[in-house]
Amino acid sequence: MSDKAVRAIRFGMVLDHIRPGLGAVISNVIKNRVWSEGVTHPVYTGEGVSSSRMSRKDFVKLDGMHLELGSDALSEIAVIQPDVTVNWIENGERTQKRTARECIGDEIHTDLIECGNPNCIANYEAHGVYEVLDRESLRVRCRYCGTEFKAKYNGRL
Amino acid sequence: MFRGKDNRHVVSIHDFSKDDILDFVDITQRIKENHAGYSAALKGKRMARLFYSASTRTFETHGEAMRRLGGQAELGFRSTEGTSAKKGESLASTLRMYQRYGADVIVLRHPRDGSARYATDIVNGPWIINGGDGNNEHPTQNMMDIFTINEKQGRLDGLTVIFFGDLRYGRTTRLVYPLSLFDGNRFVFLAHPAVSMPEHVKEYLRNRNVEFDEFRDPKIFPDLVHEADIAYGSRNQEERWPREGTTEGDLMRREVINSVVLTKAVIKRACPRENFMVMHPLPRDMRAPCITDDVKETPYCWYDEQAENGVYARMGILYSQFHDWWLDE
Repeated sequence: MSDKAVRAIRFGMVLDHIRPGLGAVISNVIKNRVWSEGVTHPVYTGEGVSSSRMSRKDFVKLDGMHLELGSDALSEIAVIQPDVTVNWIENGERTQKRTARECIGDEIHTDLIECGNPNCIANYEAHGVYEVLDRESLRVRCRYCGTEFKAKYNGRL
Repeated sequence: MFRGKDNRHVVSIHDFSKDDILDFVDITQRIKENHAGYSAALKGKRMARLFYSASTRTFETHGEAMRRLGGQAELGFRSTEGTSAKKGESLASTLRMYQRYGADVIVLRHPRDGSARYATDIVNGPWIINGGDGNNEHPTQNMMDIFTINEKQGRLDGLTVIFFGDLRYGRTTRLVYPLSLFDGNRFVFLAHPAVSMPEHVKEYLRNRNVEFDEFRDPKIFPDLVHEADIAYGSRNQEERWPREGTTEGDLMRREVINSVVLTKAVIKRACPRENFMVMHPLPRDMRAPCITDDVKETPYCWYDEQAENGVYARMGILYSQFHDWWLDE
């Protein structure tokens, strides 16, 4: 992403280095998580932008608010693509930069993971709740059946 | 026995400490010795039994325990036949309904793993008792087994316990978890490799330096019994195996059934210790039992007492959910 694109937001978030095709998915995560709380800050998605690091990439900008470290939104983004670059912008300047993996909370509430136990209630009726055991490997433990497994995005959204 | 007033659900045996288990044994013993003295303890309380999977003992003993404590146990169902579950109603919706009907405690048996823990997230008021969630846990069975062992052996430590039969799909062999909290217990697993004790259970024991051995050859059974205090059988859980007609399912039925069987002859050859006891959570599958009928002719058979204790154990659990007896003393 060019510096100009980052500067275009005065206060907000820029999610960068998103694999092409996942920008819309991550945009939906933010809309589902943030807009459902009655807030409608604009979310912009750039798709197929040229990038020196990864040839082509997507990016997502959230204008006017910050996502909190450990929030469900950032945890879900980490599940979708752990190495997304998360930038916090204030007064048009980047104040903080982390990978999505570093933003995961102690617990993830999400339907974007299938529990590693195929017979778990989380794969049928319950919304998944997973305790994060290791951020690097994304190893989690299901709240309901106790199964430990490596979290993997299930392709929903 | 329960660490706070805001969580008296019985979902997992892992939720109970060694002291909790000793408290449970204490109150259950007192109730067994004087159950008339507790006959009005839960007067006005209502139990709902929501059984999505088949059961005889777990269903009946919870109801009987509630009635003996003066409570009611009319709410619920013992089969989904004729219920709205057949119309696609969710577990959450059903739980909320029984909460509205005034259930103070809900005993849930459900085919999905984790359903009991999920139920605790749904209800607000009734205590949940896990009556068996899929292949996962059956904590009240573990607790009644603990009570029975203590009653017969007079201790919960320094025991050698053989688990044999279907250890992979059987929930009740998770008895290793509470027993592993007590010093000096040693476990022996004897099973066909297709139904051996799951790796995560063995990993749990390794992490806690609990001694265990694993065997697959049934010829060693008499030698194992000779050195054991308890032999705990688990029937082949065919209803949870890969389906008949699949390669894996057919292979399991050919090879696993009758692969490890405790008989009177095995016990005779073993010359067991005087305190030796044979346990089984029941039902025994008479088509292919892991314990033959003639074991009943030996003085070591304890599964009828074990089943009877199911009522007292559940009385102990229910009483503790509604009375802070352990805080008063």
